[in-house]
Amino acid sequence: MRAALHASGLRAYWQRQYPWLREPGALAAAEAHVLGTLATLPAPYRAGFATALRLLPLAFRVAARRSLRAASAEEGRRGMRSVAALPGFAEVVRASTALALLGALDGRADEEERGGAHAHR
Amino acid sequence: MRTGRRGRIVETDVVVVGSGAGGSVAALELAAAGRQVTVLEEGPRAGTADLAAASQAGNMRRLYRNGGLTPIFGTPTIAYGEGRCVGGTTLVNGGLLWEPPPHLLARWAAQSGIDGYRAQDLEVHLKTVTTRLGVLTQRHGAGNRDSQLLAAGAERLSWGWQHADRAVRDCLHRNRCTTGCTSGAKQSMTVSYLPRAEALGAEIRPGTRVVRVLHDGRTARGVLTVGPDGARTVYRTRAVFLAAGPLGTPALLQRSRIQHRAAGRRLSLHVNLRTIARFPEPVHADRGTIFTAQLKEFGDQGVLIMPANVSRGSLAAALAGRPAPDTRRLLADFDHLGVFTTQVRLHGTAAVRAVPGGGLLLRHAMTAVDHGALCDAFRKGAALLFAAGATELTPPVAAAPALHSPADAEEFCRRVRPRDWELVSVHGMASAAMGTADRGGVCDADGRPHGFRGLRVCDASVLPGVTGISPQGTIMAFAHEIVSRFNNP
Ligand SMILES: Cc1cc2nc3c(=O)[nH]c(=O)nc-3n(C[C@H](O)[C@H](O)[C@H](O)COP(=O)(O)OP(=O)(O)OC[C@H]3O[C@@H](n4cnc5c(N)ncnc54)[C@H](O)[C@@H]3O)c2cc1C
Repeated sequence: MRAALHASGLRAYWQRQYPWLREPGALAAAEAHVLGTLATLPAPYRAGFATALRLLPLAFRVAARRSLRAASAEEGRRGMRSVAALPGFAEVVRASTALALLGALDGRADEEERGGAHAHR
Repeated sequence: MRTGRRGRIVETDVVVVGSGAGGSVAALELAAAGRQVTVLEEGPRAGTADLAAASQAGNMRRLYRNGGLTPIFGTPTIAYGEGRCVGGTTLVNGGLLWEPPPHLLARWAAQSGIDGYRAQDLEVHLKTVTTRLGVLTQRHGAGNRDSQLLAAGAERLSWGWQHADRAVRDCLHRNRCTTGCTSGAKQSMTVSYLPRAEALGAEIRPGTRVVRVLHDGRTARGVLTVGPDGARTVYRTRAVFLAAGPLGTPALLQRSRIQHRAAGRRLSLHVNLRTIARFPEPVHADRGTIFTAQLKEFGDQGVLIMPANVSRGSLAAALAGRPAPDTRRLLADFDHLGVFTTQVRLHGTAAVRAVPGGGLLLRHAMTAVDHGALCDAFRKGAALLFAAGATELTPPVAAAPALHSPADAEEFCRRVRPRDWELVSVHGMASAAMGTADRGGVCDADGRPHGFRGLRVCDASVLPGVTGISPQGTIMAFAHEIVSRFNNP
């Protein structure tokens, strides 16, 4: 699954879209949460997810006529809107993005400490 | 222990499958009656210190089935959340504990053709549950500004609201209810019923998945399991209590070919609409417990509105379908935001199908009536939040713009299509419902699948219908009654 995620181009896309994923350690936390969660899915879902991730660069190129890796933030957003029209891709992109954001923002030890400090008011 | 054709063989008096709301009642009451009880739980065990040491994301992965990503296919796909750990979903729930209203129980009795579960029958069990879990009416604390705003909005509209009845002892308002309470205040089964059951001799086996119930066509004889080491074990028992939850129980019945056509055919659901509200004043929605006020004005229509636990990560994740600039803009204003859940009782049901390899396929058939009910519920929520002082609402539809007035909300409701909704469900029930066979029931008045002995169902799946309120109290009361009928035949 790690190879499929790396091949998808999503990591570069996320870093362009979301400043939190550019912070040190954030991408690793995001990736850990995405992969850790996908590992808990039943095998058929995992296989479907991995296939969609691997096909994403091609789908993006067909839909947006650009490479996902080279697309600017704005081009990436527009392209993803077109990709979402292809069956299955909207769900896979949304679910992996949700997991990546959750992992980056709620999955890191330093975030935990900040959360703890709020909580012990 | 012996070794047989199917693997190891363990003899025990009673097996309980699943350690959530229903299974824990069975474990404790059976152990208290002097039986030798083994609780088989598919998920891991996590104590309060483990919950506190892990990140929220880590706990999502570890404690939720499929990390919280179980899809219910249909238009739209609904994300279903349930626990998969010792304590079941009670470890990751909100800790709300409502008693089922007497008129609901009377209606169920009339519809299912089964008596013995009316208010007067369950009263004693509800009292036991309430006492054991220390249920109290939780007032606003120093935090929970989101709840105070909701209450103020309701009062401006002269709508009824109520404080939350919760199973908590000395809540420290850590805002971590749904990823596992880090202070041990929430009285999940892990810190309440299960330790008591263990003190009475019950054994809990985490990481042990029941593959199917073994039977001779009329009487359950035990269960086949796969343990943490991958080894197969047969538990030979005198009785099996099935409490694998609203998805797991019908799946096991199907895999065991027990009432396999009827089980899982109708899973009833509440669905949640998530609305993000921006207020001119700081709300600090991440300070406080899950919520302390709930709108109850439309409870009889199956609509309840309440704040949710909020963190930056969960908020950003909820916005993942929207363009990133929207997410950045909202997170920059995090302290002024509240996230509100509008819970709606669905008329259409879902189907649970066990598929080879241990997986599940879920499909729902939300109806046009449901879409209308969602629009109506959203409209009510918008009116409430604007009355509470919100200046902007972000509705649960990725393509919808922000709303700044009740007129915008009205326009949104006119345009939204069924497939647009981003829906979550955390309350499934009635998937192996109690009811006479001629009325489509799967289980009889003792919780036995029709025609079967030595097997009882005692979790959310056995409820005769949809509660309209948070179901844990109702599930536990039914489980108590089912076990008491077994203990005192
Ligand atoms: C985020 C969230 C918040 C909620 N908040 C509230 C609330 O505040 N109040 C309320 O009343 N309700 C709430 N609920 C719902 C409530 O917790 C559930 O309805 C209730 O716990 C269901 O009880 P159960 O016994 O049917 O199943 P569960 O509590 O889900 O327990 C079932 C157990 O069976 C195990 N299992 C499944 N299959 C197998 C198998 N084959 N072998 C072995 N073990 C198996 C599972 O791992 C699980 O631990 C919430 C739910 C969620 C997800």
